[in-house]
Amino acid sequence: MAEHAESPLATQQHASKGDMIRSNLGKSIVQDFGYFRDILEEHHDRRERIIKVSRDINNFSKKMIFALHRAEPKDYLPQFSATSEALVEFKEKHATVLKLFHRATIDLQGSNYYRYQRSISGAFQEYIEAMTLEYYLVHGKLMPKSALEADLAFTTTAEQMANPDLIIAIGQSPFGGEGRSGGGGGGQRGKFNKDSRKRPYNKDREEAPKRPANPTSAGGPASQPSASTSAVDGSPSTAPTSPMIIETDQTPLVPVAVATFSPTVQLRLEVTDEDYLLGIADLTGELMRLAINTLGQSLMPTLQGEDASILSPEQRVQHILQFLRDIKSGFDGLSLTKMSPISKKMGVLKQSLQKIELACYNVKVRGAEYPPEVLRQMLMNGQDLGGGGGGGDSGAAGNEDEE
Amino acid sequence: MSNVVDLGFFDAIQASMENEATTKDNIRSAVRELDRTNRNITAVLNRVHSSSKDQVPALCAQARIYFSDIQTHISDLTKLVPPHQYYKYNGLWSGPMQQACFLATLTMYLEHERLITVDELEGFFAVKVDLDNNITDFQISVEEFLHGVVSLTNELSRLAVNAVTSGDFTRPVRIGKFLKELYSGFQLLNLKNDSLRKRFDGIKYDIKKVEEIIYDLTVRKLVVANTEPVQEVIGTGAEV
Repeated sequence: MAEHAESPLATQQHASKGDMIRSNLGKSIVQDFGYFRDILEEHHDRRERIIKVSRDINNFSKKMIFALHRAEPKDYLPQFSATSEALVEFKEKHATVLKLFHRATIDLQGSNYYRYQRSISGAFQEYIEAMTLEYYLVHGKLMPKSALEADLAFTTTAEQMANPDLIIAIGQSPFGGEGRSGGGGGGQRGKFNKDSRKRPYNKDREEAPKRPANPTSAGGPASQPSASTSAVDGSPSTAPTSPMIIETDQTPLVPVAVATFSPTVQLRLEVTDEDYLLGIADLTGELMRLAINTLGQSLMPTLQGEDASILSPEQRVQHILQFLRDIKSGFDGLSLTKMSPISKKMGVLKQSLQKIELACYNVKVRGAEYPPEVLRQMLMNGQDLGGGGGGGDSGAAGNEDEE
Repeated sequence: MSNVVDLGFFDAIQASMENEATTKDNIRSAVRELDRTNRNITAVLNRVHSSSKDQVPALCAQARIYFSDIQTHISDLTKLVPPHQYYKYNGLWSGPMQQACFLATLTMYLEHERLITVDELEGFFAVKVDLDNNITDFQISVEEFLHGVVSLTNELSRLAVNAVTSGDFTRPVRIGKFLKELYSGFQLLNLKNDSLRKRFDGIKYDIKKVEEIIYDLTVRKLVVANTEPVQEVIGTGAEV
C-alpha cells in the first residue's frame, strides 16, 4: 500500500530475477538452498535498512518536538517566524526526516509496506507526534491524517530507486554529527523500543551499526573504504557518528545532474490508522508538557498581554485542556480490545489530562497563597501541591515524558 | 473553543477498524477450513508409521485427494486478502500454511524419496512461491516452505525409528543420507535469530537420532554401512 504508481523499473527487475531463480531451481538441494539464502538475505537486509532509517526518524522527530517546546507562541502565530532559532531547527529536522522517509519508502513498496510495518511504526508514531504538535500550535486543531500523508508523497528518480543513498546518506545530512549524540534520547526513554525489544531481531539490531556495508551493494566492492572520505565531504563528522550507516557507495558529485534527465516515479507512504492513533496518544503527553509550561508562563507577569492577537497563557491552557478532552472523548468512543496497543496508552492520556486539571486547580486555589515564582517552580517540578487525589501518579506520568 | 477535534474522524477510524476486524474474521474462518483439511491429511500420513512400505503409495494417493481441498481453501483465502496487504494478515495463516507445506513435502518424499521442488509445491497448492521478495498476489513465502522442510526432518527421524520396527532396515539409511543433504542445505542459509533458526537448530537432533538407528543396525549387522542391507538377517530380528 506504500505506493500506487508501481515503479516499472523495480517490478521489471524483480520479475526477471524471480524467473531466473525459478528456472535454475530443482537441480540440487544445495544449489536451491543457495537461492533461498539470497532471497532470505535480501529480506533481512531490507529489514535492517528500515530499522536504521526508523531509528534516525525517531531521533530527529524527538528533536523536532523539543524544538517546538522551545518556541514561543509569537514565533509561530500567526505564521512561522523565520528568525526563531527553535523553529528553524524544527524545519531543518523536518526536512531531514522527510528525506529519511523518502528513502524508507523505496523499501516499503507494495506488499513490503505491511511486511516491515512493525519495524517502522515506532518511527511513524514519533513523527506523527511531532507533526500533530506543530499543527496544533499553528492551527489549534488536530492534524488530519490526510495532511500527514500529503507530506509523505515523494518524487523519485530512477537513479534514486537504484541507489537510495542519493536521497539521504552519510555525509549528506547537515546534522550528521548530531544524529548520534542525540541518539541516546531514544534509548534512555525506551518508550518506542519497548515493543521491538521483544522481537527476535533485536540482537541483530544492536549489532547492526558495527556490521560492514550491506551485501546487496555488491555493485561496488571498492565502495566501503570510501565511506570515511565521503562522510568528511558533507560534514565534519566521521563515519561512525553519522546517522546513516547504510550503504556507503555514494559518489557525492554525480547525483543531481543526472537525476534531472531521468523518468520519475511517484511514491506514497500510507499512515495506518493505528499509527495515527498511537501518535495522537503520544501527542497528549506533549500537550501536557505544553500546558504546564504555559501555566508557568501565566505566573510570570512580564509575559502577559504582549500581543492582543495571541491568546493569554490562561486561555491557551484552557484551549489545550479542551483539546485534550476532545481527544479523550474521541478515543473513548472507539471500541478497543484489551490487547490493542491503543488501550495501553489510554491510561497515560488520562493521567496527562488529570495532571493539567490538577495544576489548574492548584493555581486557582493556591495562586494567592504563594509568590508566583515559587508556585511556578512547583508546577514545573510536577509537584503535588496536596490538592485532589492522583497527584503522585500524574507526577510519575509526567516524568516519563520529560527525558 | 470546542470542536477542536472533529469527532467524525474518530467515527471513520472506528469504521475502518471494524472493517479490518471483519476481514480478519473472514480470513480466520477460511484458515480454519485449511487447518481442518491439514489435520485430515496428517491423520492419513500418520499411518505411514504403522504401515509396511508397500502400503505407502496407497496412503500418498489418499492424501493427494485432500490436497485438492487445500487448493480450494487457499483460493478462498486468496480472495479475502486485499491487494498489497498480504503481510498485514500473514500471521493468521502462516502456521497452517507451514503445515500444508510440510504435508506436501512429506507426501512428495514418501512417493519419490527426495525433496519437493518449488514447482511441485506450487502444483500442490496452485499458488506461487515468492521468489522475488515482492509479493503481488497471494504467494507462499520461502520461509513458510523452509518451515515445512524442517518439519519434514523431524517426521523422517520418527519414520526411521518406525521403519526399523516394521522390519524395513534400509529406510533409515536412506533417510540419514537425505537428512544430511538437507542439513548442508540449511547450513547455507544465514539465518537470523528467528523461529526458523530455532527450528533449524533442532535438525541436528533429528540427524543424531537417525545416526543412532543406523549405528544400532550396523553394529548388529542388520545393515551394511553404505551398501545394500543384509536381507537374510531380517527374519531373526524384530519383525512385526
